Amino acid sequence: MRKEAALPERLLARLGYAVFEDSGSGALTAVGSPPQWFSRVFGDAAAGGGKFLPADYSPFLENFLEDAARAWTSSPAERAESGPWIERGADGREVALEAEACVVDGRHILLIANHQQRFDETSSRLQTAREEKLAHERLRREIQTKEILLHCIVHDLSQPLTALRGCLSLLTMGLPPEKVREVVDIADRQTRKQEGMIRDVLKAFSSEMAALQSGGPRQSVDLATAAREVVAEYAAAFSSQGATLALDSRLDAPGDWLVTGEPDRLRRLFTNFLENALRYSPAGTTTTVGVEPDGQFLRAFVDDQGPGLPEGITAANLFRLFGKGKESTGKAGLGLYFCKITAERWGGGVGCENRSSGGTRFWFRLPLAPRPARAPDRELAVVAAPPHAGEHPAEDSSGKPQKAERPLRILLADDLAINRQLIEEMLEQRGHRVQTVNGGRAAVAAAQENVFDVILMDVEMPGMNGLEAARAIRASELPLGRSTPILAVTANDSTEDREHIRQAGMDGHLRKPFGRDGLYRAVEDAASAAEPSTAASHEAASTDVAPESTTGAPPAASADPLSKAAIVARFGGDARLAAQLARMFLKDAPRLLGSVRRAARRGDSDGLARSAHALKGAVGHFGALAARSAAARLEDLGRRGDRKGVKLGLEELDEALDALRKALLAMTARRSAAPAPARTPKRRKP
Amino acid sequence: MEYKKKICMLGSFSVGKTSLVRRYVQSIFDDKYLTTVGVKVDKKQIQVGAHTVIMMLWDIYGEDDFQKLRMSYLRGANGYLLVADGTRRATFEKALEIHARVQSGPDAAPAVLVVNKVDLAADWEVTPEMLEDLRTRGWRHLESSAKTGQGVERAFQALATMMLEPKP
Repeated sequence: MRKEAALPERLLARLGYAVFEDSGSGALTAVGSPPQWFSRVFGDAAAGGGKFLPADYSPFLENFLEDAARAWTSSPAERAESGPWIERGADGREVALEAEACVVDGRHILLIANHQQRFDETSSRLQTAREEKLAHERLRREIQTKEILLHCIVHDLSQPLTALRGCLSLLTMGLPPEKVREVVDIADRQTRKQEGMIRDVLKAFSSEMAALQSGGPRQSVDLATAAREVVAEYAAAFSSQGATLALDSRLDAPGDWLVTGEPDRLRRLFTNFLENALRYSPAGTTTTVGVEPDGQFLRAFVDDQGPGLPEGITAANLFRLFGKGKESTGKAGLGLYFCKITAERWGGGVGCENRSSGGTRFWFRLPLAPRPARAPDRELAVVAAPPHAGEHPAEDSSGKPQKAERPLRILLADDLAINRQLIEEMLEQRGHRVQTVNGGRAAVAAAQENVFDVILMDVEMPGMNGLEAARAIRASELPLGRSTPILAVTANDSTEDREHIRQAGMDGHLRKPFGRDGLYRAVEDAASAAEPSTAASHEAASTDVAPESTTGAPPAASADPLSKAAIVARFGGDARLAAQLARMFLKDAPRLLGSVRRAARRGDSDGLARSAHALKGAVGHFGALAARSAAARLEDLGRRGDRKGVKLGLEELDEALDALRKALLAMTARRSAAPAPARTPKRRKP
Repeated sequence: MEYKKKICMLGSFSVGKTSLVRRYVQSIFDDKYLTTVGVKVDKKQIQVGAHTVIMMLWDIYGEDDFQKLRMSYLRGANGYLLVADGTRRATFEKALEIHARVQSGPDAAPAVLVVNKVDLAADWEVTPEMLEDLRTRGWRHLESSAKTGQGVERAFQALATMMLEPKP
């Protein structure tokens, strides 16, 4: 039964309040007529003087009735306010409501109000206040980022000093001259590094800010290469305090070490960990840097043999901003934090733990880089010298090859001088310009400094091998959108070898020993294939035939492959070149053979395989089949770690080399009677 | 069997509570930030195994210096979705603080922590270590994005499942 509305109740209705009186059992009875908004929200819930059951219409109001009941029955009487809530009306519009419970003249009253304007004003004020608070938080983070950047700059600028101090310390120890040169080189690199950083800071402060926030531009980076470089840089610093810095032996094996990151920051991750290890590595200890697969990641680690993490110190503490605290023996405590935010922003992570064998492992892991898209996607080209009549480039009347229509800029990386000399000579005869380097690292540097049409890359090189160099070149080319054709130059031709070459991002495989025509065709086709309009021609050149003469001319029809005629024929009839390379080989052979013997004596299987491989390549140029076979057998024994046949293999090699040596001596002796004209110095850069 | 469950969305302001509910109930998302001032109750019916669960979703304004959480809103709650913004570490800590307050009160109930805005993962201040630490403490947490919808259904479904589990 609707109660008669007195003036105050009518007044409240006029002001937008719906007035109800408690009827018990969760029901309310309307006092007077509810305002219009009420029926828009709750329909005819209170129509006809009926009871209004909030539980049927509004879970919020149902919940508030408990607060209201407490207020109604408290003594002295209290008021209860619901605070604003939103109901959706039958028309789909949202209405902001507030309820209040109170006792009036002993009656339990519930007022429901729709103060939309007040609600909107409150909302607006809160919206502004919260937006300003969010803006303030953003600003605070930006300031913090700037502080971190500043610390990073100071930290990075101070890092080369550690290596420099180590170098200076070593120089006071009376090193042999060749070692002094090496140490001075390291020191020089550090000063250049520091100079470069200062230049970068001055030049690109603003872009560096953006890079720090995003983790820097991401590309494929070779983790193994970075590990080797930092170990080379920091070895002196460790050595100066009587400690040793070593590379994990797993990095010697070919593998896919590409991760997503940015080269400079990647090196900084390593150097921060190494600086940390250096501080806690007493004399006589060894710190090892390595990389290992970790699912879809690669994990790089620095294992020291220091005192380990103190009890209670966790990775979470250490990698926090300034987590090491002011009492730490280290610096500001920013380096490890930098490692953490960098690795995380590249999708990886960092960590550290005590090792069961003593010392600590600091590690970071980064996602494996996606395989760079190559266009056009083609099979690995395998090219040897196919000296079929009529196929090799036309020769002039002197037997020299005709000049190429398009002279190419070629980078040749090979650790063996004889190989470099031979290939350079042959390519220059054809009119190509060749820059030679004697190792993988130098090849990467050259490829970054200059643009080449083709890169010829020996696979087996000490230090950075050809596979690693190719990966590093590919990684550095990625942001430039460049993909210089790279041909592996190797005598290893197994399916596995080819797969390694392909995985390293190389375009083809030039099998040693190769002929002149094969060499020309390989480099010229590779260069053509790199041009979209002629890409198809490369496939046609993917030919795998038996190794042949060095220059592509048909081998001499001589019964003795080591006769002068046969050897000169292998060099396209160029007696001067043949003699020159023979002299070079005779000079270098004792060193090559010595390496093989030393490795055999030490039981160093890897060393045996490497040195025998180098010797195999060198003798192959002269068609010394017996020597080549003997070297190949030793290489195979080394790869398999089989020491049984090594002694016999060495005897065979000695015998075969002796025969070759005699033949070459005889050839060069006769040649010396009519000295060759002096060669003009080679141009080293294209 | 049909169950009606009250679920309270709790957390700091601007973490995405309203957006999560809108994404879950209406499959919509609006990038514009509109602060929630009061409480709004939405409803969604789902299946959990053989059971029908009517989820009464109480979207409660975010707590900050201007608005404190009224514990009376939580009366009779069957579960909590604690929401943090992965890009703001303080909201993560606020969620944990609210959780401690709720669980020590009369309306303790199962809770799932949702770290929202995973679409901005590169800018997250909430680290994997922080989440791992929670996990080792027995928390159930999920990462979500109301913007992309990632993890949203899973978060509510996980809470519904927890609510139906017999109490130990």
